[in-house]
Amino acid sequence: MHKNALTTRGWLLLLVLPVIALGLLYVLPVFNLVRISFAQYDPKLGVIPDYQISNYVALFVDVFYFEVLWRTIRVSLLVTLFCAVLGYPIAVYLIRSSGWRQTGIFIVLLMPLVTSVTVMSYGWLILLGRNGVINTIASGLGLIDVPRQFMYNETAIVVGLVHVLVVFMVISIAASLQSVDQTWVRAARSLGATPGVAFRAITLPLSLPGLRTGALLVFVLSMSAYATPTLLGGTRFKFLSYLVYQQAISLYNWPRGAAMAVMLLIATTALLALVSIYSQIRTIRANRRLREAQADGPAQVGAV
Amino acid sequence: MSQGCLVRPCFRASSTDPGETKSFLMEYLNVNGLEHSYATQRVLENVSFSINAGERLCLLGPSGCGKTTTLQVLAGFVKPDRGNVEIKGQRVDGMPPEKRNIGIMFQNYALFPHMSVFDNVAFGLRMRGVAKAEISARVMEALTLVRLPHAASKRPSQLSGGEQQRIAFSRAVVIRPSLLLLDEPFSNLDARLRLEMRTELLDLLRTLSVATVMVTHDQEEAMAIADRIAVMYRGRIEQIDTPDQIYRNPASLFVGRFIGESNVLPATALPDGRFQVDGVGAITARDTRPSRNATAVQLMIRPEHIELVDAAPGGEEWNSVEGVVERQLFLGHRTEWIVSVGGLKLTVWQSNAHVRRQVGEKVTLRWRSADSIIVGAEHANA
Amino acid sequence: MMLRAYVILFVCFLLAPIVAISAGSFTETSYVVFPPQGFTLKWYFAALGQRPLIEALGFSLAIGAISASVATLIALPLGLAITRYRSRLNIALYMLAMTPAMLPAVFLGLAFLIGYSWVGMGGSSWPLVAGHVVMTVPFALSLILVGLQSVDGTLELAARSLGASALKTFLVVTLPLISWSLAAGWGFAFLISFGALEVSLFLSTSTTVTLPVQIYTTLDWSPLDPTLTAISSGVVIITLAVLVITARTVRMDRFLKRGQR
Repeated sequence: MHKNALTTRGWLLLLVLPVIALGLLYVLPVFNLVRISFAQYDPKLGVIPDYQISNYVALFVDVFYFEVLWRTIRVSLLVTLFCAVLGYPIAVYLIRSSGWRQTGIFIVLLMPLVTSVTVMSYGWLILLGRNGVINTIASGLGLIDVPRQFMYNETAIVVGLVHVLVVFMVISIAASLQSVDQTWVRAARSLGATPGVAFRAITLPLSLPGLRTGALLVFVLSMSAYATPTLLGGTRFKFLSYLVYQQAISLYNWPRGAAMAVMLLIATTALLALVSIYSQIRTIRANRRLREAQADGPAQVGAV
Repeated sequence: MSQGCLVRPCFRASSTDPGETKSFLMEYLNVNGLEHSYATQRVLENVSFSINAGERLCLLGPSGCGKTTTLQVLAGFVKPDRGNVEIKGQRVDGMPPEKRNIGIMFQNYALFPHMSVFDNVAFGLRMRGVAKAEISARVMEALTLVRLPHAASKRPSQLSGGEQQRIAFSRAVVIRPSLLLLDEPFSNLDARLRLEMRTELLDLLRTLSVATVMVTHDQEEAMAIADRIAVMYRGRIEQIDTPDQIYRNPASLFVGRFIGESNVLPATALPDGRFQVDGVGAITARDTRPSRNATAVQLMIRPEHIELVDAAPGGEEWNSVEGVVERQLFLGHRTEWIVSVGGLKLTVWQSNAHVRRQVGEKVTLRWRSADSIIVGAEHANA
Repeated sequence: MMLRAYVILFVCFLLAPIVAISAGSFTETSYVVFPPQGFTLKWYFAALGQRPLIEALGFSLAIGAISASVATLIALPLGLAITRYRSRLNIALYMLAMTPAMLPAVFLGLAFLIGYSWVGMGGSSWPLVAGHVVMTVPFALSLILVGLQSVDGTLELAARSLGASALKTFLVVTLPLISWSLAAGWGFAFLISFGALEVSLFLSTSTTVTLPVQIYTTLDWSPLDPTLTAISSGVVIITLAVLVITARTVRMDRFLKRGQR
């Protein structure tokens, strides 16, 4: 009986096409991009293979760049928070439903993500613009006198991003809610916990891993977002990714654009790395405390 | 080693408080007329029973008999269509599970995976607002009771199956419940562990002396642990009695077959009080039926009560028949024969391992008349 | 109960822009307004008459189909290799295929632009296909992996023991059992490619414009043209159709109900 279903030859054979395809079409361009980010640009000559770190240095002294960076981070954190708070109840409902209702909610959650982002942004434009629905309803109800600008600001960006990204949060939370065994909840009830207390003591803590994964995912995707912030934020509220586009396409400065793209990647993954390091430290500390407690625990409490 | 009243509720027969002695005798748990259906399926039908304080009742039956549903009704997880439950004279069926003060041991133990053993056991006490120092003392005492005081800071995943079971038990009893519910406590353990834990559990239950309802499909477990057994089938209780009575005087064919093994022979009542079995002859038997109207009956004899002998005994005390050995199976601790008598086949068990017969050999079987029972119906309350 | 009410509210939030677009496409006015005034299909006809839009639609459909197919052809052998052979390299291979979904879209777009231009493919649509393939492989792969892992390994062993070669086993036993995940992977890859903006933005030339890019640029200079809503509704309908079909193939509860008591 073979330990593997495939022979080594078969395995390698299967990998030829995918690895070559991905290597040429993906890995090579990515490494090339990093290489270009160190190059220089001259409007007349194009890209000059003079490799220095000047593009990166220029970013660190660019105030405007930091403004945009800060805005991107700030809005992304807000989006993550909203997705977590708004998405959690949806995940709970999703787990509890079944069959077509569950599939239906799934589809509705996916629609914003999978339908072209331009279409979505256009929809928000119609709803939030000066002549849009919200304004029409609000002034019709007498809530406001002058049509207010809900578009082309950070609020619109937050709304648009939450709309598109909440599905990732819901799925992550749902996956870890899935692992909560209902007999644990029943055991807690039998021991005197009301449904609310049982949720807080049992279900919620056990769903935290899903919450964490979802938050990371949403944050990363929000940081990298292009279309939604650009279309909904107007000229004054750009995101980092727009700067990349601007440099590379509008200004033809590939090296500078490449440097910005790499910085965007670093900014995104840096936070990811920080969070995972933090949680690893916590786990190590908790395990150490556990081991110490075991060592001297029973001695104190009058064991037989 | 003091086992004060921190874990066990303090009622014993020797208590000097007259009020407590009285409650000891009063019916402690009263279940009346439970009826319940899931969709179109009848799950419980007129289930009623009572137990006294400190008594252990076992709900026994095959899957689908309604024993687990009954337990869930007692726990408060299922609201029955009809019927009510009283504990110590107080109606509990309106109460949510968290108010009933019932200790439950779940089949899969349901230990909270993200809490230490200490926090697991302390959970119920914390829900009741018990003071921190008292919690600590009571939890450690409960852990000591199940001989796991050093497990306090461990996680459930670090414990073996048997240890998890003991922790689940201590969590259920530390709250001093009015009623203890055990849901198939041994089904997740392997055979040898099951035997060990059964004895241990019995000792613990005797020490704590708390009213207990246990659900199991294993008749040996039920007989070992219970003061009384309720045999259930398809949502009905066929018989509630002590293990001894259930074994000796089954109320129905189902009970007779479910507990231990039985030979069942169709018979007709004779005017002289004996019973005619076609192809076998007239048999003297004990009639345990509540009503003696029917003349077509079933005769039950357990294989271990039948002996292979050389000569037919006389007298009314014994029945004896002639037969031919059809099959012989040596099973180690006993030998099993299939003997054909008339047109019927009887299973005979004997523990004299060195007795040997040939297939086709003519043999004489005998059994005490008192060991053959007449049973009326397939199911009681049919 | 309250949870239900909240879910309904939230569903309305999720569907709001889609409803706005679809409804707005029926308005009789020459600028988009919601609620729409009147009811007419003239904008749909107008959209059919606008060559750039229709060409872009056709182009997107073609690119989507091609990219999804190539991505599936890459993801299937990769998935088989990862699930049917134990090697530490498998993790690296998995990361190789999945990371495109984790990188910022503009990062990928620029990398593709620079990379493919230098190979001299700047003017054609091949860079676009290549970029979309890389982008959609993660989605195809994740669904194919689910399918492969759900097949009971002993089935394949049984076939082999009865004399079938590895290839035969794959064709006769494995393939039928994972066909749903292949279809789902294709469907998802198609949707991602069809709706993708950023990568297409970087790789588009005047002749190779995808529909999202066309809508995006049109939004800049005539945002209130109802023709745009008509074509957008078309996008929504196509997306919804493919999504529902894909969902049916996957039997979504498979993901979420495994192990639920």
